[in-house]
Amino acid sequence: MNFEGLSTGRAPPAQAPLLLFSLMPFFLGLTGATLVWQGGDMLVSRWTPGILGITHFLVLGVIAPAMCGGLLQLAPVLLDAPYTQVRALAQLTTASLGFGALAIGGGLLFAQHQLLMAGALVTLTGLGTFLVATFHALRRAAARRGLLSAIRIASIALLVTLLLGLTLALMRAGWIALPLPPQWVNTHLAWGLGGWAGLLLAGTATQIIPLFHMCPEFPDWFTRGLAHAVGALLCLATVAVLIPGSAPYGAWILATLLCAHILFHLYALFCEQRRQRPVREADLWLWQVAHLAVTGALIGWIFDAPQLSIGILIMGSVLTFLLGSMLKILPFLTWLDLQQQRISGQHLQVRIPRLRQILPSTLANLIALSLIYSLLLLLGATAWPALTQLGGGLLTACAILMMVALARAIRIHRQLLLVFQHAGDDLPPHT
Amino acid sequence: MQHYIDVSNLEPPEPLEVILDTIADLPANDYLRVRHRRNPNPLYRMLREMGYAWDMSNPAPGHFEIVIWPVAMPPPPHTRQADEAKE
Repeated sequence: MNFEGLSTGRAPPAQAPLLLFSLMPFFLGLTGATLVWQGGDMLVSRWTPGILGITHFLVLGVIAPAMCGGLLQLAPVLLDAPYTQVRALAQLTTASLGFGALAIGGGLLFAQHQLLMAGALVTLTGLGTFLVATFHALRRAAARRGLLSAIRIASIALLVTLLLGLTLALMRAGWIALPLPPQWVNTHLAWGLGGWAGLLLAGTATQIIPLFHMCPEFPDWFTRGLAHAVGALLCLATVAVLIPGSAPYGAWILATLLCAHILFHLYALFCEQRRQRPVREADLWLWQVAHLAVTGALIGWIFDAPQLSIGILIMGSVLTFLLGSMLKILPFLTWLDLQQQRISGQHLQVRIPRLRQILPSTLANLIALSLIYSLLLLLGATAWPALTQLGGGLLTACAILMMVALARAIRIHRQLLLVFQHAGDDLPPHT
Repeated sequence: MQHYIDVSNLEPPEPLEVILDTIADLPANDYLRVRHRRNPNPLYRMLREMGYAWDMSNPAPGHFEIVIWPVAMPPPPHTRQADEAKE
């Protein structure tokens, strides 16, 4: 990554992404609690109300806030493309995702169609506004064309996901009828996880893995090629659903989409193995589990494993990658924002805590281990349903630990801001 | 007096952390020489705002030397600014 091209001075106030990130532990905990409450019955198939509910808790309450918060932070720093009205945008997106995740997840879990429709409309409005703001911020960006292509195509994928989601909600409420509902659900999933989440994660990973782990850079053509290949495959998969009788081709196109992502993950694994400083920390464990989980999903598909196992591996890959990135980004953005405020306010006598003080390694390790073991238990629960509650409990524990980490970062940030506010030039150093 | 730190084996953003902490502890009239594996561009904006001057040289690929001192102090020897002042 071209470290010299970073515009750290353009980073938004840390409160904006932190507000979005604050949704993540709540919905991760809600997912774990639902698994404990419903037990093994909900893992009978991927179509149970429980599975549909927790999928939306995770996607809208954990993955989407991390993606939006990450973009608010990364677009200005990496692409020199700041968002306008960033605080208001963060508040609107947080409110709509919070309500949307609860209403859609709850609507699917309890078969409340009106709640589902309300959630779909609020989510569409909130994320639609975020998308407009993203395209506006990116309109003049020209650097890092690979990342730019990934963000643009991922944003289009989010729009398609939202529109397909609204259509499916209308169908579930009985307002419209669609042929082949399972294929449309698969297409909605593919645009959401493969297009939006997968591509955005891959794009940002090509920047943050070389930056944080001192390993070879990803070639720009690789990121751009991946973004365009994923976009084209998603279009083909959608066309395959529209043309009667072409469903088998659609399945193969989705498998090719998975292969495109695996190519990225294997390349990322190759880069990480060549890092100059061979320290293995919690974020790296999580990233490497993500690389292996997505490869496991393809192996599962080849050997005709249950769809739910493949789904857990794909969702697990996204979650582990995301939480791994959060373990790096959370302390860094807290530290960077405090450093900038310290310097711009000329509070040079105030000492900013180190990153490891903001997020201690023990806490990061516990978050990583609880997530990895909960995913392994849930994978095992597809064969032995009795493991569901244990997996759910561990996921709740992971959410509580994440809440502790987030609360710690916010507390340190607030304390230092107060110190800056009240500091005269003769204030003793803060340690 | 010169203080020297080598941050070339640290993972980002640790070099930035270590450099900023070392500058905060720098006694008056002392300066800092840093060995880095790349040109730490984000550092310079911070140094400017903090009232520090710097000189960067790149003697070999992957070897950057940055000398940092308060603007109120005369440039340390063997820096571009010191050489310019002599001329």
